[in-house]
Amino acid sequence: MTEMHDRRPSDATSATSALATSTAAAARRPGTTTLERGGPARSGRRSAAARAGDAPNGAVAGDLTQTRIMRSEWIKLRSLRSTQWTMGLAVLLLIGLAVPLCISASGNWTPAEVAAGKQDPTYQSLAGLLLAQVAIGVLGVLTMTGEYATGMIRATFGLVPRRLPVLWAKAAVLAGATFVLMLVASVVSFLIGQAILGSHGVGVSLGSDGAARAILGAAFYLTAIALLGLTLGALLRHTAGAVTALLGAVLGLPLIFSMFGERLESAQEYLPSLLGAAISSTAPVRLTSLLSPGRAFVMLCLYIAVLGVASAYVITRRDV
Amino acid sequence: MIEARGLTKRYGTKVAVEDLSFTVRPGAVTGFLGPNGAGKSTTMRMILGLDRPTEGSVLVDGRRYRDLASPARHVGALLESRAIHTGRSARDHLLALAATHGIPRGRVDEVIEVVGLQDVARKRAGGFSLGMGQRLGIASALLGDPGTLVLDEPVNGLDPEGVRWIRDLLRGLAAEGRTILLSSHLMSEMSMTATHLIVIGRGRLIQETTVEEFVRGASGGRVHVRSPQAAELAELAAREGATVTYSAALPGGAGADAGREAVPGSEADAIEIAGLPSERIGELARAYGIALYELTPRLASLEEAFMDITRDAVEFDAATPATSRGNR
Repeated sequence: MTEMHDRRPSDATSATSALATSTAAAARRPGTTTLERGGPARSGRRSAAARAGDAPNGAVAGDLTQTRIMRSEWIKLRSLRSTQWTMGLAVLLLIGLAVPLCISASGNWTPAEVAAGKQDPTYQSLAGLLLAQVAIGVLGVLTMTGEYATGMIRATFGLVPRRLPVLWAKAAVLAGATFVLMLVASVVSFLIGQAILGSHGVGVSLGSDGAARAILGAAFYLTAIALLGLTLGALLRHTAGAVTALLGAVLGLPLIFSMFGERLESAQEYLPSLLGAAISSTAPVRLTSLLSPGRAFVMLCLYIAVLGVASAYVITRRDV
Repeated sequence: MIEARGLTKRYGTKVAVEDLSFTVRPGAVTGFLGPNGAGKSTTMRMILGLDRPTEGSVLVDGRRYRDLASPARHVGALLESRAIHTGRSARDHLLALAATHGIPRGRVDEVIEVVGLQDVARKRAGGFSLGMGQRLGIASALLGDPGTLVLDEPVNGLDPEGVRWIRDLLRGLAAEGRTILLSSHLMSEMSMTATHLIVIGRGRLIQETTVEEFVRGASGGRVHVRSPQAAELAELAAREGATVTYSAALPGGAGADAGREAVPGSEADAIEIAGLPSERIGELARAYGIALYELTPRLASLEEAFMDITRDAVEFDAATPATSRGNR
């Protein structure tokens, strides 16, 4: 860290001077100055490492470990603007939608309805996830397809030739970041929504039955969508294809299923978006056509597992 | 050290690489030559485990690449197609790659400086020129201070300064005992950088040799001679079994077989004699009292040698399937 800190000022000044000149000049200049300077100095240092041969002492590169690959994936995730955009958008949509939804509900609901479980204040304040999932899903897809589209995947798999550790690391880092951020956003969304509803006497508190579980469920559902996007990205390798597949499954299928009427009604509750509703609402199961939160959780895990195994199979077999 | 044994890659019915065996030894720059589509890039991808061989295997330092505990310590690679996320800065790109092997930040800044990208290291790689992208690729190849470097067309898009830098860098690294496999379409560049050669055509090995031998083999022992009695000398040489051509008429020397008929009665004083060492020509001239103005052994350029040999290979390969399949 200190090294990096020391270098920063000089880097910053040289970067500004490079910006002033043309790109071509910026590219050529370092070639003339530093290459001659850097070359001989380096080879002296390198020969020492060459004599050491395979011995890890003195070598700059250590062994591959899952932790290191996860650190690498974390650097990748946070150093892309698309991550900031999609994550930011997801937070914004989640919280932003809670406000109008709860304002509209606060005028119509009665405390009796809420007490009877006919209205669900908790889900009302979390329903922004219906749009947030689009942004999160795209992020999940891009985590994988961004590498295929740019060729970065060859550098990645070139350094981690067993490949699967990369898939696990990407999944872990993406899931961790998404879950933490979406949990915070869900809590904020819930608190804002309940403040609005509460002013009309139709709100609930964090301590009320199922509220905390619903908030955790919302964050988990969004994490699941991110992982489904990631695995679809690994399977299809193209951003447009994977995004289409994901949004088709999440947003399109419920509409199609409902058009078939009663025949597919029982199957409908297994669709990802309805599992999302099941896991993040507190309405009693007997009043909804949804699975119980526990079964919804298991089903989502199952989807992730199936697609995860499929993408693992494909990743290890395909040439890149 | 890279050892390929019976390496074969088929895409459906199309054969990209067939039964390719070679060894790239440490301490030298080995050039990897072949016409477009010969299978160079495919072979390099198979070395790195990016493409799975249909048959055969390739070992790096005695082990399969995927079995190495620390791949970056053994091999650094620059592949032909770009392998950089356009949305990430050069430094973040290298930091992410370095993290997989626990390579310290200091090393990342070091390689950035070595390739001369420090002024643009914090800019997004998407805006990089071809040459800058190439430098970044070389920086990532050097990250783990590897014992073996696999570089596909590294001078692509580099300015003359950069080309010279690469040449010096690679020779220096080879001198330290590292293994370097380098492909390039620029023959002049290859002849200046490489000492050893692996030549492939249509996915098969044509020659595994040194640059020197390769060029000597292709030149066919031609000697350029200038003499006022050239016709006389030509006749003597022809009698010794040599092929003689008039240099002026055939500057490339490609059609050496057409030589004999041009010998008698010609007034040109410059001839090329193939198939007779220059020592023997000198002795002949002395024995018959022929004055010599010039006696120069001719070496083909690497490019000429390459064209000669790969042309033969292409013809040979084109003929093989027709005979083996019989009727088509």
